[in-house]
Amino acid sequence: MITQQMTTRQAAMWFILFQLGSAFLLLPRVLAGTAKQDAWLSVLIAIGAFFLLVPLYTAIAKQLEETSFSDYILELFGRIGGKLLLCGFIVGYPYLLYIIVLRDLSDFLTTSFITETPAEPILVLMMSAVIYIVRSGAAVIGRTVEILFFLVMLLFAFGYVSLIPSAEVTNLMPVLEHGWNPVLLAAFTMLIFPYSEMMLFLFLVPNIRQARRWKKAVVKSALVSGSMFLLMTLLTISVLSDGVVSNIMYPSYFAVRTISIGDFYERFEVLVAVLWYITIFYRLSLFLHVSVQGLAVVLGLQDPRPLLIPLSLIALVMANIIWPNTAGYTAALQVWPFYSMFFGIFLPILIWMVGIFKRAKNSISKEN
Amino acid sequence: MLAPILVLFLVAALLEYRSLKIQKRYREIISSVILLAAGLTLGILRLLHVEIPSPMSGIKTLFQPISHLLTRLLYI
Amino acid sequence: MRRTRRTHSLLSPLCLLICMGIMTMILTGCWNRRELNELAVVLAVGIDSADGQYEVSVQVAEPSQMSRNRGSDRSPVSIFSQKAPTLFEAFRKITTKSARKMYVAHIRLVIFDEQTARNGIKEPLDFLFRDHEVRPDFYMVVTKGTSAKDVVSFITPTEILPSIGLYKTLKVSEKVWAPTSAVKVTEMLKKLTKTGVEPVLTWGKIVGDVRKGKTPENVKQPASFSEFKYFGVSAFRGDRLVGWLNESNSKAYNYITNKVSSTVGNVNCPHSKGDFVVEVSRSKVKIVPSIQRGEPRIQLETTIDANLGEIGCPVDLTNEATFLAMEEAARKSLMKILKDGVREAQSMGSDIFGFGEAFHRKYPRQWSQWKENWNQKFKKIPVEIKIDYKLNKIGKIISPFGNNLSKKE
Repeated sequence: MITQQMTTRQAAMWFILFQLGSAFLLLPRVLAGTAKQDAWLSVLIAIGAFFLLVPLYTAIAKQLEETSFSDYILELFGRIGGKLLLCGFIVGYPYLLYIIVLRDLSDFLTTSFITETPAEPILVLMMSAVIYIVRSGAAVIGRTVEILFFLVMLLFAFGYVSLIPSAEVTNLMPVLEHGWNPVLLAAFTMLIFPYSEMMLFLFLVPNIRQARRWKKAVVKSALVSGSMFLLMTLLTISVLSDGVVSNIMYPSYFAVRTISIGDFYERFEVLVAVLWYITIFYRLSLFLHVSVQGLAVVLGLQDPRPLLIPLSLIALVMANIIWPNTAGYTAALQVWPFYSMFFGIFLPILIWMVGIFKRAKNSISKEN
Repeated sequence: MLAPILVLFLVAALLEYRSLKIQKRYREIISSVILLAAGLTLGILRLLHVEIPSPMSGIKTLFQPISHLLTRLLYI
Repeated sequence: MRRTRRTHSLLSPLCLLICMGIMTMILTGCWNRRELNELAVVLAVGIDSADGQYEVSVQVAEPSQMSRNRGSDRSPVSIFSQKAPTLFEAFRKITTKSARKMYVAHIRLVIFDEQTARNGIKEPLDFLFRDHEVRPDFYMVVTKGTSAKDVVSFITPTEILPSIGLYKTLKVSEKVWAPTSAVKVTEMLKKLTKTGVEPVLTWGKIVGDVRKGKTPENVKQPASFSEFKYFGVSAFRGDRLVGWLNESNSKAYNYITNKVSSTVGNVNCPHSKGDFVVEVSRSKVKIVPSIQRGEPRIQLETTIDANLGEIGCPVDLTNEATFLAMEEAARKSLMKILKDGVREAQSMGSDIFGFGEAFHRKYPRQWSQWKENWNQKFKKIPVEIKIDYKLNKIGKIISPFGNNLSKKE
């Protein structure tokens, strides 16, 4: 199968929408629950910490050269070991995330808008779009992202810039009331989710060809999405206070509900929901793309496309059972950073080190 | 609601197999069929209201001690 | 780069048409559809306490009466009322009387009666916070003397829909008359979660003949029999009502919490009988907390910009000394208002101004020690008020006309 090409700009836009996806709705509540009114400081620290991770990912990207990530793992760990590792990784990380995000989507829609609709039809509709676009390939995703990106930015501006008049800076004070510890803990949570999921972008290196351009896309996307998070967290906490933000299911959505300027500029929280829907779509497409690519290599297939439909079916059924209720969801969110840390940080470090050993070994054997 | 969806997926997969069979890609067909069977089994189990354990509970039990430890560390 | 084409039949126009047809059917959200003629748009909700239960009265718009060709015999709104242990149950139970299901996204006003407010409003409010249809843009009001059901059944002049009338009254009044202040959901949420500030709710009363106010007779002649009047704010402790603030004290509340956009106040003339009126155009109060000998103190730094609006005493405004004397009199009068307001709130033991929050922001460590019984401390906190009052403009005429009338003959 020929790998399709994406330009750096398209990749950056995809990455931005990807990061905005789930974090947009969940992050303010999680951060404000831990760091209270200093949640915006956690955002800043998380962005800074992420830039420490970028060299690690870039190094791996450089090691990849022309091979895809999954082939590279097979190279490093041998055929059987590599296949096992890859299979465990795919099922445990991107595929699990695909299921979780699907569940998130249906939860949000059934909580806020269409309460009587069962989750399955909502998911089937979304998944058919995702399957189609992943089937069409990365170039198509890149092209659609270019169109929808500006729509998303516009909706974001409309929704959040209009919150500025109702923001009260006093809600952000006292700064650092409980010290740095909660801020650091929240920053750590944010670093893991969504930032360490950028590790999955390594799967897209062949689509962007050069590691240098990949790095540019990743850095640009982190900066843009980081500043959007910062703005959103700042505004949400200053409009509602931290006590309210940690108690509302979807605070950024609720904050937009309170906008009312001049009696006509009001009630467009639905636009924010559209924004979120679009970003979820790109998140799902990345997860599915990565999952089928990886699993195709594990099973030795040339073409990953036949796997799309069965995997989506399994995901659909799993999405309903992944946690029984909202309380299970909060509990899962508590342990998620530590689980995700394995795949997002430890695994890349492992791969990078093994890559260096292998390269050293290869150059020694070449000299011999 | 789940039943028509299962049928839908089955039909879509069968349409796919038509083109694959023409290209004689048996490996793809076999792996896809296995996964499809897994998906259909899960779906049927859900239709019969059998309780399927969720992977998240496994992850939770594995990682809860670490999470407790680290949160306590960072709070001191 | 070539994409391998799959079977040709999928892309045939017929298939596309079928797909589009299916999608149009799906994308309209039919599962959760609610046709307009199944909805009863709720405009106002009144919550009374009755025998340990809540009696919920809703004011629902009659769509047929809103159109141009309407028969003038039917009222533009209907009232449904139902008793139930909780709010959600009451709403659903109302369908036993109403032809349609209540649609609560357009609530403009929620009215509590005194008993419910004293028992605590967080239970009824939980439904209004939690339900996904309810938007956080309605006002909340407490009534004194009458039940909330009476207020909801009330007919107001000017607006066809009474609750819109009440809503607009509150909105306009808040901007031009200091004692009234409108409380929205986000404010209530914030104050319920913060420990350093207590919530307030606007309070009002039906003035006049309550029984006649509920009939169309109320608006059939120019002078209506009764009207709903907003008096000021009522102080809460937590979610329970503890006291009513009269006009002057509510004014003090709104000044200190910087909610005054413009207002009018009358001042006794300095050297003669009669009053003059100042119109405040800009007002800013800063709450400055400080700690002296381990005890909290508050200083209120006030900056006021005002104009002379109406003069009822014979003064000569070309004389600067008179002008300054009037400014001083206005300053003293405002000082008295603020002092009385603070004292009243202190006697109620409810920190409605947010002094606690000011300490929370500036002295977080001491605040964590004090916050347990802050209301007790609040009662004794010494408050010092500094006012920087500036009278600017005097309007179109300078000295009042007719000053020299008594001098003639």
